[in-house]
Amino acid sequence: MLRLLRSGQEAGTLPANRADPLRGIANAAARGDRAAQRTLLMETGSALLRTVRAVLGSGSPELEDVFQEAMTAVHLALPGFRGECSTLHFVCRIAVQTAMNARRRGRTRARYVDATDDVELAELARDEVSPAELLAAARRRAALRRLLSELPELQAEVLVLHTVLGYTIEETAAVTGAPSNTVRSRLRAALAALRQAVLADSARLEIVREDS
Amino acid sequence: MSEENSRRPHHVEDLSVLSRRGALSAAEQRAFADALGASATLAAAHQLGLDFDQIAVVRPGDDTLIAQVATRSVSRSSSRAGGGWRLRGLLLVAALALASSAIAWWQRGRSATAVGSPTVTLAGPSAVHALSLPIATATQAPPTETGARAASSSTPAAPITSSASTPRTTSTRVDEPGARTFDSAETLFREANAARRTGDNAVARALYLRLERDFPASDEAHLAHVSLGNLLLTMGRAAEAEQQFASYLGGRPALAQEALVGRAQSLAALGQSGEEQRVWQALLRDYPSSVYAGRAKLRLAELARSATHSN
Repeated sequence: MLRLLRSGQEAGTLPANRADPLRGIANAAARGDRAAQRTLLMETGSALLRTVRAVLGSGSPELEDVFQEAMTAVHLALPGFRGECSTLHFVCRIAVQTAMNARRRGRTRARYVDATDDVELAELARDEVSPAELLAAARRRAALRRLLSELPELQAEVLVLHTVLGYTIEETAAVTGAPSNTVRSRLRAALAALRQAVLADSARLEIVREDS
Repeated sequence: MSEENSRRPHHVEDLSVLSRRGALSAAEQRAFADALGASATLAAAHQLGLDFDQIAVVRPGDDTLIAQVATRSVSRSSSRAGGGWRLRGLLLVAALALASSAIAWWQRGRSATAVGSPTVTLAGPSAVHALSLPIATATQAPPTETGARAASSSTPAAPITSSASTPRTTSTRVDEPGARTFDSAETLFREANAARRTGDNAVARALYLRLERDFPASDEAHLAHVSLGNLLLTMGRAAEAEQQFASYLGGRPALAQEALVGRAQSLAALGQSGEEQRVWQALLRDYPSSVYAGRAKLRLAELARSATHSN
């Protein structure tokens, strides 16, 4: 949390004309307006929940607790928000860090649970997508999630913001307070590790299939 | 988001992001195709981005969950901030109660008929009201599924009792599912899934059955056959599980493969190897490229060996 507040103050500024529809609500919430606090959490709730789901997996038993933790963290961090990035990105970054912390806390346990998220598989099951494709995608997501617990924290954060949440390099730089080149180098390192992890997982899957 | 409007010339990594947003120009699309061909790492990263986009969907019950958690978060922080006021309120209540008791004792001494007079009984309800007021005004009732968006406005909902401000650690547990009312299949399905995930198998079973009974035409009730079937299998109730899978297979086939596997496992647990064999064969016939095909072949081979030995 301290890192969030500090980086918020040190980061560069966004173009002044960048539209941020939530900024007014965020300012009011930071001043202690309880109606604004609740409205902000409601408006950003879907993005927060999606972020926590992406990092933990839809079937994680900790999902709701971590989601609660993320909302509380947003609430506490708001007074330190200086508008260096959009409110939504600020909020989602807090969710990323909260969820990654939860993953790291449960790292040992995660090694022993199923690699894929059965809940996601069941929820995504549709006639137009083959179960094999769904399973392959689920395994890739699982490989990335496992990697989040192994990578250096700053690389893992950039990986989630860019690859999972789909932020551009500039947006990632704005929200993390790091220069674009630093973000790119962290991303390159994380993607190299990710590709190795996905390849290793695919090979393992092939072996299992051959065995069966 | 408005960020797209202010984007500048892109890093190559951003072509993937913009492609996912559907914001690539024709020239950028060509450049992106070239970049994907040139970099396996970029291609893998892009595929992963698409994989995560696939699950970035709103699920039934999300609105309710968001509203509940937002309300709790605001309540918790304001209860922290308002701790001093609450303490002062409690002290005031205690002082009032002491004063009322003293007055009552004094009045009893003066006249036996004064016992139970309004002066004495006033302290009770007043104290309760004073105690609950800071909590009640700091808490908003969780909105219903359909009312979640409306509740996001700044208009506060009706205050609820102090027990609602207690941090909800077990509220997804439904100890008496029969006593609760559910306004939609989505809510019921979500509660049942939550109970299953937290290991409340009996509660989850009751909720799934209730979903099938109360909302039989809903998509959730249909999916519940598979969820409940798997749950019953883990509970060792293979016969009931088999019925659930069979019910599901009589309807729409979105999870047909999973249901066939579950049904075969149920039949195996029941010792009905002939029927089990037919289900595995149906899986292989109808879904030859299924991810479960390997398991089906393996099991069929085992069944064939068992049949040979028994003969």
